[in-house]
Amino acid sequence: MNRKIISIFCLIVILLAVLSSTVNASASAKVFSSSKSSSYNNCGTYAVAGLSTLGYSPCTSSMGAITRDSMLEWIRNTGNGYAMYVHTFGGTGYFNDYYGYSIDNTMISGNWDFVYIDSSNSASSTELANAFHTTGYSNRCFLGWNGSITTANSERFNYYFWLTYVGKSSIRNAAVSAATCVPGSGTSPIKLYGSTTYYGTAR
Amino acid sequence: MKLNQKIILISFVLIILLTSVIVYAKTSETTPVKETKVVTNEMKNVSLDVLQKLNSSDSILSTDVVYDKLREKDLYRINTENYMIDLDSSNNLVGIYSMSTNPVSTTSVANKDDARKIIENKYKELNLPADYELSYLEKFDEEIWEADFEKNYNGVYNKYESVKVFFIPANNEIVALTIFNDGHDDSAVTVSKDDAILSAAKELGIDSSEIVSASLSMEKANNYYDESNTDKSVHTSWVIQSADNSIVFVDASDNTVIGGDCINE
Repeated sequence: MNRKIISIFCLIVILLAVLSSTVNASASAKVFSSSKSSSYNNCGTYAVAGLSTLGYSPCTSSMGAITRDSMLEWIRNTGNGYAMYVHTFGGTGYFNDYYGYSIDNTMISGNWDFVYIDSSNSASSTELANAFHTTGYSNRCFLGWNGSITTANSERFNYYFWLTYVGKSSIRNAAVSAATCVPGSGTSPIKLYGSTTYYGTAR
Repeated sequence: MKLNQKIILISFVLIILLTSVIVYAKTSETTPVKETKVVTNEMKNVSLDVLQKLNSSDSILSTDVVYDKLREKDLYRINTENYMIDLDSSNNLVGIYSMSTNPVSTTSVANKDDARKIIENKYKELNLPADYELSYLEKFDEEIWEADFEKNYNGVYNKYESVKVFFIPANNEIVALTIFNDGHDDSAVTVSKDDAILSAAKELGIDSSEIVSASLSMEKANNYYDESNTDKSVHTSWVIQSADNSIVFVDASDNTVIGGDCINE
């Protein structure tokens, strides 16, 4: 009898271990938001909610005086990190940390499912999208700006993109829907590289 | 209590605990809005009429009432297989958002004239505001074009009274469309560009030679330079940009700074 009970107990423990490992095995994501931007707090918070909707778990965040080292540490992680959002300042082929130190395509490695660099001109060339290896696959994409973006327009875009449209359609459609919610001509030059049908869902 | 019973009890508690954690994690991801307002049959009919004009035979799958924090109003949302249609409480169309786009067989070869004809026809079909005029039409990406219809006040367009639409001319397909309908400031422009530049330079603490551009448009006041400012109304403004990417909105009728912005560059 004792043996039987001990066997059942062991089985339950194994089951629990398997269940907990399954829960932790989903792809994770990280949000970086630089307080150089007046809307960093809202944009970061919206992104955490949106990435969680897409199933990334855990989705952690670093908001404030973000550093290049902390971003590179995440970019070069060898764990389950497959998605990343950065709200910051930047230009074509690079983005900055709070202190103005840049990350460019030569510093980026890894195979990413969904990356969104929310800084001016981040998608004006394919450099960052290619560096994150988000192009040429059916379930990967890169989102960025194909031109200048103001803090207010970025914040408005992110409100609708992350909280309303993401998860309900492909990233491309969600981005175009959010772009129409920003008033003004050419004020939301969002650009997608990679799969136009990918929903951004965590693997 | 016997050892066996203790083991069974502990196992039971462990299972309950784990199940609760998983259920909580799943349900806490979304916070349902407690809403007593409902999408009426009239709203559903309006959305079905819109769908017909989009050449869609979709039926309604679900409806929601959601609060839009930025517009500060409720939206009555009708979801179909391919579209999300938003209306306001008076049954007016607020937006059309496609959930999927049809593949374009060849790269879009529509020229600007083709694109203009297609979007102007669709604009009329959808009974969108007749007093807005096409102010912007440009290619957005390989397939999609952006068109903006805005109300013109003596040469100054009001982007807050406008229709912004992204569409695929090759498929005659609307990808996303939003209608903005915020009031305008009808004050006359009495402040010169040079005076506005001086005001902006003073606000930024820079010399006016560091100002790189100045243009007249309609902008919403905000608290970018004055946290105590609660005004969010639309003003005819001089938009002044400095070399360090700061933007200042100067009211074009009284030369006061009503807000600003910054380019993330």
